[in-house]
Amino acid sequence: MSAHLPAEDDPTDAFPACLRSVWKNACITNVYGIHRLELLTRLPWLTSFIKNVAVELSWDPALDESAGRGWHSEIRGELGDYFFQNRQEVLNRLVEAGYVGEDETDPAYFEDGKLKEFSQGPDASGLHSVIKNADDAIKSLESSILRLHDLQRFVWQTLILPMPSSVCRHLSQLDSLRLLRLEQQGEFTSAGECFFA
Amino acid sequence: MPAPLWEILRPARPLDALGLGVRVLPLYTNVSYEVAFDDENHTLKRAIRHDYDDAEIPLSQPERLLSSPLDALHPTERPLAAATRLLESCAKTGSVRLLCLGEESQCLLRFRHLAHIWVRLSVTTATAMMAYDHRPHLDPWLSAANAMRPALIDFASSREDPHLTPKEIASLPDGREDLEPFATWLREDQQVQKRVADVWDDIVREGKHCALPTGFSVPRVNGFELSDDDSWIYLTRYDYGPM
Repeated sequence: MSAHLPAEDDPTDAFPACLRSVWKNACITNVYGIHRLELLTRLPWLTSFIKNVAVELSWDPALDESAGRGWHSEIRGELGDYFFQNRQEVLNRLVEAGYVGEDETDPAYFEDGKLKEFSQGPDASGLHSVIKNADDAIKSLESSILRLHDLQRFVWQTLILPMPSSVCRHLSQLDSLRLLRLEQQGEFTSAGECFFA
Repeated sequence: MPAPLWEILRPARPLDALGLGVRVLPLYTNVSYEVAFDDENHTLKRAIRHDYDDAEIPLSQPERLLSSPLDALHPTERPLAAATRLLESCAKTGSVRLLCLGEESQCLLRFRHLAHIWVRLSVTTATAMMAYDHRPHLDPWLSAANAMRPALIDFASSREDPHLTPKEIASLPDGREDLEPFATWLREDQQVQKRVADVWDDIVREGKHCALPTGFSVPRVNGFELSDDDSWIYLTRYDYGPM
């Protein structure tokens, strides 16, 4: 692959359009996406190809098939639970909050009349080899976005994490930015402090 | 500390479109268990409980949303204050050509302290964008917002001096059914009249008082052309492939 790397000073000429479009769009929905974006943005020749980024960190991945039942807005959790899609932790919270437990035939949560057990982390060893916790994930996401200087479209849509100031400042400096969508900045559902506090 | 979102906007780099879906009204139940969100009598809390459906959301002393620091405001009002500052910034700087309000932000059309914003800023909603060209979408608040600029152009065009006084703004809704949702504010609220007159004055000074920007009549990001940008502004397309 390295033999085909374009010159860093003029990357767009070296790649045909179809290849450039491979990296054009990025939708980040979980910690794996965050890590992948960081790997991509560490390659300076590639960052100019990334034009459109959607950060959509919802609570749903952690809830899996229970998503859509409305639980996601009914429980309060920690950032790590959602970044790492920690279904076991979310299930525990649902049980604590009294949303799960009455219908023992519910296949989303029960198997043979017993609560399901999920093996997903994070645990002491960490679920992800590089990003160990929510702070790592936020730092990684932040630094990746700051390396993108040719963004045209940007979406920040998360129930769990308001946009960091550094990302806000970075976006304000981008001449290439054409479209911006701001949704669900974590307002009213923050874990620990009120949004815009 | 969350970002001051309005600082993203820059007059020198106007955005083709801004999609705003920030939740302005609190959740129906206080799921974050913040004590400050427990106030059941707060106007915004009553709004989410359908006390003001299809009507104005009557916030008292809305000017404090701009004049007070965010952390001095009631926590329930902070997202509304942030959205207000964002919209004020859009209108003042002309840094957004089309605003698309998402489901959680559509209620911004029902606050009177924002009525003057719609003179500057063409607006649509995600609901209207999705329905565009398929079936008629009737939202009287949205129609009223986008009728402000044409109404002022019509009104001023019949006069020698296009500048308008706050008193003259009071007669703006006369004979204009499309302005009906804003009619009481325009006729009776001197602050609304003054703000609308001030914005219009600025537009006249800039020489932009004769022609209607396309966003007011065609709610699409790129003028008359339907493009990928139109769906992008209210919906993330799944062909990104999740990372």
